[in-house]
Amino acid sequence: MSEEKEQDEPSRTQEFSLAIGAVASGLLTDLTSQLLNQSFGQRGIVQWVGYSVTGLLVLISFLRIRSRTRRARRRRQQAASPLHAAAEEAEQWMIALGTDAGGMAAAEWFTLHEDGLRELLANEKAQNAAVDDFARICDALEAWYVRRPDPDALLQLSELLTTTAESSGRRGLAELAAARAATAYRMLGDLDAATTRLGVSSNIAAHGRTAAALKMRRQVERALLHLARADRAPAGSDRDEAVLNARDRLDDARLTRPGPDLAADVAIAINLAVVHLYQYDGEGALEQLRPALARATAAGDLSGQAHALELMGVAAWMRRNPHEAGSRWEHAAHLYAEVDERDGHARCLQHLGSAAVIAGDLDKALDLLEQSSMLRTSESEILTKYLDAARRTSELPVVPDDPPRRTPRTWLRRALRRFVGGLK
Amino acid sequence: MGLHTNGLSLEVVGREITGRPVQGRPRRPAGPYLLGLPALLLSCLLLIPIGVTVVTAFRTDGGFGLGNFAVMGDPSALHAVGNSLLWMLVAFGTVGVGFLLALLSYRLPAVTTFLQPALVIPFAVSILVSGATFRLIFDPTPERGTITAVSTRLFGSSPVWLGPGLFWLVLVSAFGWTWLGYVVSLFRTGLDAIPDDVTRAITAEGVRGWRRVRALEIPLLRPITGVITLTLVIAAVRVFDLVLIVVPGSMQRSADVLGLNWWRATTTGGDSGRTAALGVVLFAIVAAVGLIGVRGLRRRRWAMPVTVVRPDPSLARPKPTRVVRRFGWFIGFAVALVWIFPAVVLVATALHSPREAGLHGWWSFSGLGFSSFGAAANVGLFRALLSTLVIAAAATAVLLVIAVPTAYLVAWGGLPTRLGRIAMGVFVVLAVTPVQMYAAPLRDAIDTAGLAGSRVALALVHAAAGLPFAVLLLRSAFASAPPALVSEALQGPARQSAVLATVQRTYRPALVAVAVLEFALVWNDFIVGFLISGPGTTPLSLVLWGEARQFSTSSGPVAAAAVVASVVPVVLMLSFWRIVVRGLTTGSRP
Repeated sequence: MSEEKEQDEPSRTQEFSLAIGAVASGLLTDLTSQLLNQSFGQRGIVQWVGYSVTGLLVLISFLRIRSRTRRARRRRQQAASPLHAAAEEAEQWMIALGTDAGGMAAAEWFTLHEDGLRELLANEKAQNAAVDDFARICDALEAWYVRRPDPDALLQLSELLTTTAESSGRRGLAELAAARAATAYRMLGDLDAATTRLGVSSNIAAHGRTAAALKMRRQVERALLHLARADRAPAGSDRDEAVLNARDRLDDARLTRPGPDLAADVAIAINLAVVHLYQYDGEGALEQLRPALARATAAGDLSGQAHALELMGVAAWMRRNPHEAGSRWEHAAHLYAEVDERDGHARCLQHLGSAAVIAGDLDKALDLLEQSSMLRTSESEILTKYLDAARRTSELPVVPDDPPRRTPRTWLRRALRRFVGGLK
Repeated sequence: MGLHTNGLSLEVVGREITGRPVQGRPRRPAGPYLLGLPALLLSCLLLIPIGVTVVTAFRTDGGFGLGNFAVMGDPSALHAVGNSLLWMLVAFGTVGVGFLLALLSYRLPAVTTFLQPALVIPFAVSILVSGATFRLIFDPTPERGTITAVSTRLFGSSPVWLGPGLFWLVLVSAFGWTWLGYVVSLFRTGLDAIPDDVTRAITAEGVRGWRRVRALEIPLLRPITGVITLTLVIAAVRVFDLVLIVVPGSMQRSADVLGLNWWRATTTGGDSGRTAALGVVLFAIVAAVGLIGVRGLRRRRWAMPVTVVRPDPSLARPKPTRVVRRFGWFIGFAVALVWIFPAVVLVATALHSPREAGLHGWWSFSGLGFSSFGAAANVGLFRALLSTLVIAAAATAVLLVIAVPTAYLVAWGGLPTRLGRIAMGVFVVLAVTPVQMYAAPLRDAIDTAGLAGSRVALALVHAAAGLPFAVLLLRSAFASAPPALVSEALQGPARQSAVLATVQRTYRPALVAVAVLEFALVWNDFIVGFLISGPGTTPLSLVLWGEARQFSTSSGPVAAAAVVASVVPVVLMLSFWRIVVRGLTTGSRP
């Protein structure tokens, strides 16, 4: 409930200032028209404009106060419903998810209650105001399923939300649900279906207050799709093109990001770093990751922090600095463990293990890689490859050399930046 | 699968955005908005007078209404509107002829060698000078007028070229003489930018001659045709000084155009509401043409196609054979001779003594000397020269300082799309606004401020009038920066100077073009100085006009003054012409 009270605060001050403004403009108009009357013998347009402004202000403040009282009444009625209570609780835990303030507990809570919440959603025929509560529970569950990750559940959830949105005629929710379905399809590996869903989402895009956020979300999702394509393509022009497309989408997303959305800022920076990594530009990746890490740390977002650290490790490895890479990955693994983000944890252990395989320390490698495979929720080709190598059942995997990545443009840009920096 | 680096396959995953969508709008840095502040202040010099004129036009005795527009029912005003429309046709004709000439010089490249400079010279001299020159050539007495002399020799008699009806010929040829160089140069650059392999491929398909022109060249040149047509139509609608100097006073009524009609109404002390209504009509025509013309020329399409890789020289168009080249030179030389002829007439007339110039044509050998220059110096030519230099230099400097940051803001300052479009629309409308629209209130304001005859005020007005065009041009140059870099610069990691560094190849020519054109424009200006400044500033063109009033007696000094006045812009244009054209067609060459 505390959030809603916070939301109420500014609106109350606004209404107060509106009322004061109305009184003040009325008084001022009166005064001016009297003065004008004394000196020129006419009041004319000034009086007209002044009184109409006053009337307008009075009308606006009246309308606002009336709608607020209505909202408050409705809220009192809702508070009794179980859906509302569940939505409140789920939202609290969603906020805690992945942070240093109860990240672990949140993961535990979601593990315990996800079935209950799903059941509640499935049985609820949400109407009018209850749709908001319904959507809030969906938001919370989405965050959880993406984090876990559990694409099947995410897909079902988005379908549930689509049905509700259609029956209640909320275009914004349908738009969001389509974008979520795209995420689910991408996680399942069906990139074409994901693209279709994104198209659906942008076709029904509404002009609400969340329009910018949804547009940005679609752009990020498109970028992730391009990255997934790049991941599948063998090194070459297809891959380069997909990476460049991702980059374009992320630049767009950056420009459409709504001001207060800091989590999105971190996510975009991390994705840009991934783009740089695919372009074998470790330094460029670090330039994105440093601010992302700082922002995530300031926000107490352990998950984002861990993700940034993990990629910093990859960048360090790319720059032939295995020692730094190892310590980054260890740090990231620790943070992932703290918020119980198993997939991230597993990835870090896998990086460490495969690095150990390369270093020839096969016992340590086997230990790490087996831990990693226990934590994982999905199969990974790379993990299997290195696990086999660690078990001495197969040869060491051979990896092609890094392509030369000193493209003239990035080189030029960096030289220029150094030059400009030197002028300061 | 995965990322292979440094001997290791790594699994790299991106990050999704989850949870409830955040409410709010994109936050854009507010700092760049400051870049537009000087331009806003300078534009107010035009915007406020325009507003005053519009209000005056709609204010009648009994409140607001359309009463003043009854002036359009006046037969002389209707006649002026008709003439203005005729001038638009003339503009379209000039564009067509220019396109054909450009096509000729493209097919026969050797033509350009002589033709190019010959075409640039008329563009550099002021309308006033070209008007005076054509008046010299078409003088009705066979002793002085070249054309009259030739036709008398050939047919025994000659029509009075400056008589009723025929003066149109003189007007149109003066207009075409001035503008054709611009049209041909821009079309030629556009044609050169068409990749050779496209031309070759389409020729191999068997599409040749006119069919090729229609299938390939006309569609590809559409953006640049838009720019050229726009410039010419606006120049045609704004025609004012040409009529004033070419057409003898007794016939000016039948040559009336809207701008002139307005001027006559203000000088004869007509009702200010009615003259303002005339100005608003002129403005509405020009603004409509401008907005429609530019609608299709948004950011990307204004720029010419950029060649990224320098084409293999062996694949370029084959050099024409020697015979064809000789032929091209010959044609080019012949056309250039015809084209340069008015300038020769002008210089030759200036080299005669005032008395001889008044009695005989430029071809007579008696009375050669510099006494005409002396006569011109006596009426304050050199003081005017200095004054013009100061005004033009100041206006150009102010313009550059203000236009560059504004163009940058409009191109990449992260303005919201709608605001950016509105700003562009305002700039387009301002760029084509006729001087009549703001002259009267501005002159009153300058007089009230006690700045009458001040050079600074005149320079500022010039800078304000040149600003919109400069911003439009520079903006399309800035727009060639890669968007990714710009979004980085807006949001954090890269610096704005990095963006500037990447576009310097395109913005430098645009900068030079803006500077040269503004300098030449202010130097050659007649109408702003004539309508706005008081007697104290005495720019060159005003002196010229004052002399030209007694045309038949003072043709020597007029020609001398015109020659002196034209030297600076001609030299400037000839030396910078290639860069100017490149800047006008931003990014057409690597």
